[in-house]
Amino acid sequence: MTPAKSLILTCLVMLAVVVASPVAIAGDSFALRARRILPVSPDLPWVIEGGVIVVRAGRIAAIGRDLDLPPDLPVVEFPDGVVVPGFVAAASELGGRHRGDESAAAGYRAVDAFDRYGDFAETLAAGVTTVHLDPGTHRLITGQGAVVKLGGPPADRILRARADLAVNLGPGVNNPPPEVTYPFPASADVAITPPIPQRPASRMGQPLALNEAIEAALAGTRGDPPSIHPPALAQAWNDKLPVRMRADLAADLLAAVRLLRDHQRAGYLVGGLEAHRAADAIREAGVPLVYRPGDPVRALGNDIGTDPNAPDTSASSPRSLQGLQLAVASPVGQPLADLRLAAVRQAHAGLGPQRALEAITRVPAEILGVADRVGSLAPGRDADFLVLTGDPLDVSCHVQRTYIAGRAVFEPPAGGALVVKAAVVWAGPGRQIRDGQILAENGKIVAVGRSVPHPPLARVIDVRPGGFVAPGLIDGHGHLGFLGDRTEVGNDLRLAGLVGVADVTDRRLSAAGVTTVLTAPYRISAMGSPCAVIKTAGSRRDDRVIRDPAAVLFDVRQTDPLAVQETLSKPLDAGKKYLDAWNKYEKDLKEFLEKKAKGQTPQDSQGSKEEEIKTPSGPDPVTGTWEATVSGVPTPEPITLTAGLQLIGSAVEGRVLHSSVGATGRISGTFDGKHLSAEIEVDVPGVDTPPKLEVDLVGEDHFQGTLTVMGITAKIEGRRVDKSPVDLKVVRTRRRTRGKDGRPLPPKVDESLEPLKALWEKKIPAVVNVSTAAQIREVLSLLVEKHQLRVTLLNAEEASVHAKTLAEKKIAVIVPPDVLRQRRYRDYHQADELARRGVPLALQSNAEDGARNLPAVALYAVERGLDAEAALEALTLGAARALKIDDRVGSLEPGKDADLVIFSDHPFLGGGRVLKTVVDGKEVRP
Amino acid sequence: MNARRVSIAVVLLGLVVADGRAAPPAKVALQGGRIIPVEGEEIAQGTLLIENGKITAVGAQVEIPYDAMVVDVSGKVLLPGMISPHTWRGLDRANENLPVAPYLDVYDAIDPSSLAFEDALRDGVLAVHVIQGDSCVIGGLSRLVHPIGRTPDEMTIRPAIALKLSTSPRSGFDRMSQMAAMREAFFDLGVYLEDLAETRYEAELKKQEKQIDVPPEEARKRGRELIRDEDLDDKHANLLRLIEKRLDAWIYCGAATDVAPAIGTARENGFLERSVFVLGVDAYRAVDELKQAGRPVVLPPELVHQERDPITGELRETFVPKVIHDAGLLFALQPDPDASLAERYLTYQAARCVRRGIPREAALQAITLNPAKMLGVADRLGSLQVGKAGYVVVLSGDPLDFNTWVEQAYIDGILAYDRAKDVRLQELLGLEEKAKKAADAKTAKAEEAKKVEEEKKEGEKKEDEAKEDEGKEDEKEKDEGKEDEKKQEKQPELPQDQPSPPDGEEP
Repeated sequence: MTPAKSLILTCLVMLAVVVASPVAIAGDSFALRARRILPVSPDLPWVIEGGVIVVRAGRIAAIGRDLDLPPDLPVVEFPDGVVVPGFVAAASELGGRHRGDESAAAGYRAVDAFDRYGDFAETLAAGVTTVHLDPGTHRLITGQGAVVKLGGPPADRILRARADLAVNLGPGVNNPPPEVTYPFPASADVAITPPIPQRPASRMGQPLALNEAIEAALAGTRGDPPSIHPPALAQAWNDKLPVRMRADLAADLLAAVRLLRDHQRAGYLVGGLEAHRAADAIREAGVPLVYRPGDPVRALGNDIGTDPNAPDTSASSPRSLQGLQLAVASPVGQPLADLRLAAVRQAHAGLGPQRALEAITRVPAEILGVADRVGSLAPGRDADFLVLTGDPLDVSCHVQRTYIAGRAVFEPPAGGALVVKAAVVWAGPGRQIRDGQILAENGKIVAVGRSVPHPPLARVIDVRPGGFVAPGLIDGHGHLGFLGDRTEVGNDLRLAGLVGVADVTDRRLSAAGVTTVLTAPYRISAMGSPCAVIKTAGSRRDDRVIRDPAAVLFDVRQTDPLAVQETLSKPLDAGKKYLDAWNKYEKDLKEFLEKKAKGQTPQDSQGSKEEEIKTPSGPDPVTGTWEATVSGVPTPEPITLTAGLQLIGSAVEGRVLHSSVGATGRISGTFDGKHLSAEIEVDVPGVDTPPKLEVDLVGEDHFQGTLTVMGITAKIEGRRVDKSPVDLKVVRTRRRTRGKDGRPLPPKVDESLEPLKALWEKKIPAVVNVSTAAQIREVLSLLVEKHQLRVTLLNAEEASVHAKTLAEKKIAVIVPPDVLRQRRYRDYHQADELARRGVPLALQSNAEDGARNLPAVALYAVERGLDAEAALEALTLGAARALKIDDRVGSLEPGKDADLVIFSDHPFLGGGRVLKTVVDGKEVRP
Repeated sequence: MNARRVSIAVVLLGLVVADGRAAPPAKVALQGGRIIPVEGEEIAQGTLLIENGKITAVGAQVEIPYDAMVVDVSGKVLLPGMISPHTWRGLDRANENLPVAPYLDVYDAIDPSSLAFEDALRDGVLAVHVIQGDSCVIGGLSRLVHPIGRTPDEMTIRPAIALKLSTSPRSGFDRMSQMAAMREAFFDLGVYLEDLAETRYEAELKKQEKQIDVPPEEARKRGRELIRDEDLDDKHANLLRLIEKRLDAWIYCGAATDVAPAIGTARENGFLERSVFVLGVDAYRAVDELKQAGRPVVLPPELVHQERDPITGELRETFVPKVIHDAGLLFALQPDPDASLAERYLTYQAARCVRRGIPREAALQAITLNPAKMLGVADRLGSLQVGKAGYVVVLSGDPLDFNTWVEQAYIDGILAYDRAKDVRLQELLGLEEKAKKAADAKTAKAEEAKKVEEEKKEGEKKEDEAKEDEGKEDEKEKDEGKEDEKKQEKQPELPQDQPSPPDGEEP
């Protein structure tokens, strides 16, 4: 070939390509790569492993194994998907049946009955994309069939509006009702004609009636009154529409074959329950058969009985139909969604997987005359195909996506069931399943094992032959969401407020496999600080928060070991007192309800009359007039104020008598001997929450502390100038302890004590930031030995000193991220050392989105000697146990949250990287 | 025209509004109201002049003829009479049990005393397109009427507007039978016309004393032009008018999938350019096909379509008029007479459209001008423009405000409705007042009885009582005087009874 010629040829080819492909519509052009493609095309190999389909403008442009991906097209990846052509149902009841009485009525068109705007999601979910519509099977000639698609733009759904002439043979078409013609206008001139009986009445009459109708139509009969049916029959006959012969019994099948031969017509058989008895004749005539198996799996128990002539509907074994051009359709009256099941059953019965798949794709498309559009995957055909979760004839496989003309018309709904299959499922320490599967439904794990249920519409993630599935990784201590804010956080704050829709920061973590974090404030209050356990993915706060408060944090790192117990006791005692109040209330309430149930009248609540408030006579550390200075406020000068206070029992009442900003107000609070905490009710517009006073008596007549106004905390310092009681006209009413009917009233809810109450109730652990061995000793002695609370140590650099106790009592240590320490001039790794001695471990990032490096932290620990299994445990179940959230996360067990990470291999042994992260059963898109 | 108008005797709500013998006022000037002409700019305060039933002037400054009856409508809003574009109300039943019956006519069934018309008037609907229901293949002729008159003839604005067709299956039919019957009807017409043409050609030759000289096909072709209207039988006459584009077709499409067959039927038989599509609630989904056909549509009374995803169960809602409006189609809104809720008011339907993002003007046109265009009466109805007929609604406020009511309605310049004289409405609204009055009367009686008893007991204070009685009588007299005054004030409110004589021409 000369260069010129080849150039011309190239140009021509390019021109042809340009002409052939109309303007590409967005969404209809893409390349799809799947694990396996079964094109079912005679010109292509049966299986294309790792194949690519290029779709342009709704048609297949190329298909093959080693195709270059076109740079202009988006690539859809289905690394675990199997692609097959959309299934073609060559028979259906979708069109219903027309209600006409005419025995030969070719004028009815099944296409009229098709809802082009219909939503056939349930059928598309079963992979059926192309369907033949029948005008009915109840008369000899019922009309003209149609071939349609079940999805895509309504205007493109009809493949063939007049596909065939529907002829039905069999006992069902005998004895049609006589034809009645109503005269119009009803007058003396128009005779009322008697009803005209219609043929056929028997099998003999069927060919007769058919031939009669055809001859009459071809002779140009128009009927009286004029009817559309004879001209329609003539037109169908002249257009040589294929004749669709519906017959089930052997004699009818033989008659159908004979009729086709006598009239020298192209056509095919539909039904064929007894095809095995007429198999030779059908094979000889070379007539294709659309076989509708007779044993509906949805309605068993079709007893044949003793009638020797009753057809055995399950008898047509595919073996006897060898050599026929055979398509399989769903059983009569059963949903179209059963098509694949029908093929599977035929495959099992001896048809073989290859012919069974052909029988619901290429062969029916050929029979219906639409093979140039659908039924197989080849360049030029419509991009109608399915992405399956497995082999099409594997019963448990499902449709992952259905395409019609390159548009996804069905996808399993997000948030439904999810099945993950991988080479290794690491369900928890010591529970490793080879070739394992996990089923998640509604965000929870339902089953883990070698084989799990595959509910319909389940999404499937199949990463075999590789893949290592582990529970989502947990950061034992971090600060996600604080954005560097180092404000001290009190126990009354709920950190769930930090969480919203997962954002880019959260996605960084989930992409690294970290699905759960403990988020804690940077600065911890002396009364303890709350922390929350949240997930790194999710679109709603409620879904993302696992527990809030999740633990009470204490920091005794800087505290003298001798003061540790005292420091911790203050908040603990307050919490205990609060818990006791509630316990008492609950006990009282229980007693009250029991008494009430027994019909006893509860004690008279008015009996405990309000007590007189006695003003203590002697001088006390509070009562008197105080002058105070507030500094650190955004005013030019420090605020000075004068207040009168009075101590009544442990309550403090008082007034701001004068202040430099002009505001005065009522002071009410409590005094515990050293600490005074009070609220100031001021009448200043804009100050909605009363300013809070927290001061300590630092010396006689001298206090120091903080004043919080509208979120701003300022320092306050005051001195007593006069000890004589100020006349405040205090009217205090004792809080009622009982309701009207004697029912005990609940104590006031104190948000700042709620976490401590939960701690005492052992619902949440105390996480104590400690460093030295002495501090650890004090903490253990107070919290564990004395109070028997749940404790987890944070950092605890010298934990190895107490390793034995920690291991015995199963007290976990959240080791710091800077893990390498030195002892006697030698490096050692704390995690390794603790793990060897049986101390439960968790790892932490001590960072915000820095938690994404948590796997690297673990990897380093492994490099320094930590057992890889122990490292994985520390990141999952170990951390979950340390934070007492192992009822929700930490391992892959039924009932737990479906949070999992799919690595390409073991993250520490095999160098596996994160392939996918699943949170609450939903794949997290990076 | 004038004679017909004069002959219109309006029996309305049991009240004779216009006397059959007295001529309606020749000239009416509605002065001082806000005028929403629907076509053109709104006039904040203007005058609408109707002379001999026709609008002769609209504007802020209108010279009122000296002999015109002036009605002060200041503070009120004038809107063209609204049009109910598609209803079978006014008939006894929606459908006949014949699938193909183009020879029927709603004229034979319109009941002038039907409450549907009274309701229409009360709601400001001054033209009603009465048409057969949707359960048919080919139905009968429709008719545009106004809701006043004693006979269908008196009510008629325009007869024989359209034939009703439906591509959605009528009851007892499936879609295949429906379309087969539709095709058969036109096939039958073709066969009939061929036969008739042949006969006509033969007859024509016979007249010329010739023998038939051409093959039947040629004879049919030649005879086709010889067919006269009087040759046709009832069964085929209207269908022939339809395919000859002398009639409109209003085709009901209950579902989206019925739209393409409807357009196909109209196109194949040559009457697409005279078709109007009446849509069911989900038919809007075929908006692309409708857009291509470019024909007007009548929207369903239910304006929101809800559909549920078969797999997820998710509910999706679509506001139908927005889709149609965005497609640029001419559309009309229907009231829902069965709705106990506000859907039965056209103004409410229009207000919903505005709320969902359709411009106010378009929404108002959808209840006035658009249906007038579809019905071929846009030269007479649908807007307040000079030259059009005097179909005017006087509203108490903005038409799209739900607190607005119809004060008055003028049909051909005649006061056809006055809320103050709407007996049924007043009855309904007055019930409470009546009950209160009755209760008051009862207590008054009881008090009187008590007083009588007291009188018997205390016979001493007779003098004082006598004084009181005198006082009471004085009061009574005063009240009577007031009532007289009121009567005098009210008189000018009945101008149609007694047209106020021109100044200075006191008889």
